[in-house]
Amino acid sequence: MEDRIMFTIKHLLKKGTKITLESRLIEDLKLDSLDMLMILSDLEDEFNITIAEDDFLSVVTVNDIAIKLRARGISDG
Amino acid sequence: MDLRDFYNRFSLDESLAKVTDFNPYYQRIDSGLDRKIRVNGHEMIDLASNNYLGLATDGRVKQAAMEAVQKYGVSLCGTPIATGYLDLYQRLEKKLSCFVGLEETIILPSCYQANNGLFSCIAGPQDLIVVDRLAHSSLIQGIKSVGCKIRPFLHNNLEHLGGILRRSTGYRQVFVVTESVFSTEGSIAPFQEIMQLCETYNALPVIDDSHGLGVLGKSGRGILEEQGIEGYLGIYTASLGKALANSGGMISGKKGLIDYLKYYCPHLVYSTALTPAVLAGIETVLEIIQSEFGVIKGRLVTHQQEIYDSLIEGGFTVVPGEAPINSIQSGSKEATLFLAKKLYDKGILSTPFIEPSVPVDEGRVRLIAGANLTQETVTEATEIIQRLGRL
Repeated sequence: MEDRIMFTIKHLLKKGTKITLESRLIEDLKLDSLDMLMILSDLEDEFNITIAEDDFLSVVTVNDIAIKLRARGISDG
Repeated sequence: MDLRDFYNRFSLDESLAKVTDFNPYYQRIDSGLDRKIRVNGHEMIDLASNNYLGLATDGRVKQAAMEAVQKYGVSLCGTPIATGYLDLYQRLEKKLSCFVGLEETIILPSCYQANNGLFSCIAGPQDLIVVDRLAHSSLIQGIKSVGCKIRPFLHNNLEHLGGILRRSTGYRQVFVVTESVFSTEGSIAPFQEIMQLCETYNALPVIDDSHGLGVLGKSGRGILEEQGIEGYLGIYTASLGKALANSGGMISGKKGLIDYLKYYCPHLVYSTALTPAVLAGIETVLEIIQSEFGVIKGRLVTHQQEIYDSLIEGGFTVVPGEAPINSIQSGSKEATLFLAKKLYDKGILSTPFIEPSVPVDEGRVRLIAGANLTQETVTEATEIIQRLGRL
């Protein structure tokens, strides 16, 4: 799952931007609210789910997204 | 609750201005947009305004505005739905419609209001709005006011847009929103291709042509002319305060929709109408464009190329773009303001963009050399830019 999340985010970032599970979305990846909207939308497509933006307001790192998705019962498959 | 607590919430963070010893915003202008302008009492080269065609101080435009004031006074003191619907207003609606090649037009006090008011009239929570990542704040704020699902797509990226549209089913209506010219970049939307995607997926295109109207196309009619688009079925908005050198905004499109907006767009219905001077000014600018566009555009393009060459010569990184805009990649907000200050100190007024106007650390310093600038002024600007680059 982590790889799929990172792949989804990475193709929205500037070329050469390094991303790890510990990357902070705002401080490290320099994402703003519109970028976040774009990422959540692309994650919806990737995992075929619907995401309520409010559920992801507390997300800080890439790994936090994985935790959120697992908590919703999204499996690695 | 103590009112001091309330007012204390609104203190400005002035740290950036202190670090850079420069605040480029709300600089006092002491003149009109002449060949040189006066800023805080100093004569400077204007590479900041959106006076593309240089018509803001054209004698014929000023004369038309003055004659309108003589005939009608300075204001009709009413909204268009009430006492503001002058004969001048109605005539300009028709002329603008004809100019861009669309059925009907409404004219609002600004394009911010046009973009801000449009979406809440045409969309609802059951719709989806797909919007270019770099779209202007007026579009984003207008879209957010709808309360529907919003999906940004990567700037001018047809593959990303196509993927989103392919997967977006089950909505009442999907809208695709973009701009013709992205003014912080100088890039132009591949709108013909975007329209084809809209057709494929039954989405409705909305384009803001603020930096294209009066600039793009072989006769200045904007993005639709530029990209050979006929029979446009979407919605079109534009500013009347850039190449058209006055103020106001327009929404154009199918007659039925525009007639509806005349009664249901609160930003139009409840705003005092544009003044007679502005309406007459725009009308005259349209006449000048229709007779002189080729010559004026030639000057604009030449100026842009000379500024571009000097930037490259000076070692600046310029965003590749097709519009008559030069946009320097300046990085962080601090670096952006430092560069704008260097230009300012040498007598050039520029437009710096920092977040949230652009993504974080993707600052831009924009230079637009209007067609009213003399060759001597442009040469002076290029010499300054080259010297700065070598420092």
